Amino acid sequence: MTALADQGIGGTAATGDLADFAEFVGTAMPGLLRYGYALTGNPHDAADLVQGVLEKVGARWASVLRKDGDPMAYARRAMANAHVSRWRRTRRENLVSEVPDTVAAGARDAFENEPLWQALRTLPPRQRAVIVLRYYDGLSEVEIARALKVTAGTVKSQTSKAMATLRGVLATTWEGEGTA
Amino acid sequence: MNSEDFDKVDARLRRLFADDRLDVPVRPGATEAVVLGARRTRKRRMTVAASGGATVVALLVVGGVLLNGIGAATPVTPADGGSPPLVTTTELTTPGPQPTVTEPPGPETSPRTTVTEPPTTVTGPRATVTEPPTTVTGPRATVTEPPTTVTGPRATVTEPPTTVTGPRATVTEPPTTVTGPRATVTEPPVTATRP
Repeated sequence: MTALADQGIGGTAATGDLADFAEFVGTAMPGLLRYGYALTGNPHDAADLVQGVLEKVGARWASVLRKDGDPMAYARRAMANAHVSRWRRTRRENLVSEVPDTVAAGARDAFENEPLWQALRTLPPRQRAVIVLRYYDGLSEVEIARALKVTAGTVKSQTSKAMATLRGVLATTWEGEGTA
Repeated sequence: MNSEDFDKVDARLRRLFADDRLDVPVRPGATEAVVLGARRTRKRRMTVAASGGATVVALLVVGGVLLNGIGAATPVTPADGGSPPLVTTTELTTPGPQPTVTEPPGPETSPRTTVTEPPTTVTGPRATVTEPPTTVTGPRATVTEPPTTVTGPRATVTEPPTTVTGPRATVTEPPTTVTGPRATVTEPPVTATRP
């Protein structure tokens, strides 16, 4: 907080509520990064997602506190929605003039040998978000529907499709383990 | 796939999301970067809101001025900026008893703008009638005034000249042109047959 005050972030009355926000960010950042990793399947995408959502939350911090009351739950819902929206925007093929940077060979996925994690990464973002909200957050179908702003029927169908995919992948793995 | 497999997937998902390997270390300075970004976003949002509000106010002002201009252009304005048209003020100055002014109804004489004043009869001792100049603005107005009869001891009526200004109405009829095949009248030859 001292560093923030030195930069004039929490020093003026106009940005007084940003001092509270900075405290919230310091406390909630580790949990949100973990949640973002579960949502995106990638720690780098998780960091980008958390930063973008927290900047938006901070821009309307007073309103979030007044209307929602639970900024952590609000930030998680916002992250799930932002992840789905970003996938919608970027799923089309983008032509670029230069070849993008590739992941360094040394950076290995922590869940490289986890078949369930690999199966989760193949799911479309909305199905993955439904699974994460259900099994990471422990939300009910109605709560998931409210968080993602979809109907409960959509949540049910998305969960069913995701579980069918995961079961199929795991069944193949288990059959391979059984024959091996 | 049976319910046992379903429970297995369920349990493995819960175990996976509880794994410590999901922890992502927080980069140093990440909190400051987020707060600065939030401040920047807030400033941008306020700027957009302020400019949007200013635009709305400007549009309202312009709209109001335009509407006022349209409303003000409807009534007829005086031609010379003097007295308003077709308004006559009559003042009677009577040293004695009040004179009697009788104005019987008169017929309209023209379908155009016609002002017909019936004959005025002033009865009483020495009445003075003063009328300000009348200005009629508009296309070709015709003013017909009947003779004024004053009965009684010495009444004086002073009327200022009436000025009619405005463009004269001009009626132009285009020449009549008949197009089409020319009509041919053929008369049969007259044949006289004697019985």
